[in-house]
Amino acid sequence: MKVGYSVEGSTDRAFLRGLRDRWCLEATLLEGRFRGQSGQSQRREIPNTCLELTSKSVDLIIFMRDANNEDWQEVLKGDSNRCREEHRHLVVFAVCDRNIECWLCADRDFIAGWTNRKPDDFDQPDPKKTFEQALGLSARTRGEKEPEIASLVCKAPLKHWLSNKSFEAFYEELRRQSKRLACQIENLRER
Amino acid sequence: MLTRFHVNNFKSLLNFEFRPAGVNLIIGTNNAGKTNLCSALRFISLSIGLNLDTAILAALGVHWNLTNLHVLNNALIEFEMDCELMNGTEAISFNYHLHLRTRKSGTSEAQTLSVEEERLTASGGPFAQTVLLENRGGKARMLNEEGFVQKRMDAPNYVEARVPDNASMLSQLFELDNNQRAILFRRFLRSWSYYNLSPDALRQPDVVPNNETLSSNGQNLSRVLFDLHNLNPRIERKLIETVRLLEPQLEFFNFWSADPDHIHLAIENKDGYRLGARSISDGTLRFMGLVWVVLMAEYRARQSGFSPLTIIEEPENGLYVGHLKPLIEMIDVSGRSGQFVFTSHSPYFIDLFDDNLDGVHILKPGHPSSILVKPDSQKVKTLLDQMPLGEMHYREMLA
Repeated sequence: MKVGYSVEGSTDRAFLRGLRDRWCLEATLLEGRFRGQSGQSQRREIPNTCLELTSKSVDLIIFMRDANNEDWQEVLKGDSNRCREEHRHLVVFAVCDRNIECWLCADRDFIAGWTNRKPDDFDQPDPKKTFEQALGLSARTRGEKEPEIASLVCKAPLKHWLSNKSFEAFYEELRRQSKRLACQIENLRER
Repeated sequence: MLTRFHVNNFKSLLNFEFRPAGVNLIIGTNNAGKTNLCSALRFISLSIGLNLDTAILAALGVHWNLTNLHVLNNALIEFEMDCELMNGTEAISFNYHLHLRTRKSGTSEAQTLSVEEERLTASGGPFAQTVLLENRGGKARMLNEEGFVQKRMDAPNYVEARVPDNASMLSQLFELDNNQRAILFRRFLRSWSYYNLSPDALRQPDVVPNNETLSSNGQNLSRVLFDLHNLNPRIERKLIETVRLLEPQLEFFNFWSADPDHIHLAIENKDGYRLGARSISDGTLRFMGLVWVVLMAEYRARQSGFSPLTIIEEPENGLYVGHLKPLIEMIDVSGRSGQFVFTSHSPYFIDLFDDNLDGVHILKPGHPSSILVKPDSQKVKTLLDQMPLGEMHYREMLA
């Protein structure tokens, strides 16, 4: 199976790699490109990225980005509207409420244990800086940073992340697609 | 026109075949082998006027690691090509192959080259894959073409000779009626040129000895423009008109020379202001060089009756993207007024080949060999409705 994706940065890329390692190790990840670096450019290029990835015969396309200060549901709606009708059935939009670090720190006990910090350190609306400091990410190269985050995602108790509504929406959409693709994604709601 | 070029065991090219159209674009990531292909073409052309070791040094800048690093115990480099040329009204297909043996030179890593086998054959008119010349390790034979054409003999009549093996036999031919087709083929190879223009070199006032054409880095631009000024003012006028795209005030070129080894170039505007080569921008100088190359290719094609092959590496360097289109529009895509091979990394330059997909070749790095791929024209044409060609290349959708 080939999974195409488009992300804003290396943390998003590592996050998807972690999910692949956890749920579908045989899947090949294929990154779609866009001219520019900003989320705005990524959004503008949604139709072309779909075109690129479908021409490379992917089975699923994931667009992943941060909502930053916008309402994540509005961002999700806006991005979906940019997707052409013929690609919609293949596409999952993952919009993080604020940023990806909010997902990664959704279970503060787990992240505190992973980083040898106190859970209270992560008890804040935007844990991005704390997360990066705790993992020493700013000093690491992309090659060092991505495996660490992927490994974190692979081992995290994701069912606790469902408390974050934007992650929950992404998970539900991914699970719906997994049925189409006859691929097993763990049921996070199982007790 | 060159229709096929085959290389084996040269740098990253193993059993590698290039079938050029009239105007060609070679694209690929860094280290894909684009320059190796250009160097192979350049070497073959240089081997017509230089001995093999000098030609390889001129083409590559080094004389080691000539053979493919992944193939052990094969010291042979093979070049083969097909081309179609007119000899008066007679259309001839030539096939030329040159097999070279490499040897380590003493204790150094430097490699020397010698001819293992060389053969030129012709088809068309009275010829049917007729060997015009052949050289096996210095033992050579050459057809008396005129005698053969006039059927004054029952069988092809060859003159046999010993030739030194450190140069191609083709490079050692005398210009005689008896070998006019072989000479035509040699002129064709000699007409090939390679450019990777450098602004520093373009600014030099040096006169490069025995060079009627622009040198590969552009070092003698002032000299070739001086010759154009004196010998071909019509083309000079065309060049000035084209360069006005970048320098709207340009009126004419001015030259002065303090000694016979240097010619200084200046551009003068309508108000009489003069700008020396040191003050002209990198982009303008490169554009001037490129326009000279394109115009002279057209002129030489008209004069010689065949299309000289011109190789230009990364024409986009230093140029505003909007100036690339006027440059490419000067070239006849059929190749009749010069056959071109461009390499490029610029999506904007690549976009300009959207109506010439036959000319687009994608080189992919590979072990042990670079791989040449043609895009699927039908698929690309469909996608062109939605994105430009350069964007497809950026997104690696072409191969």
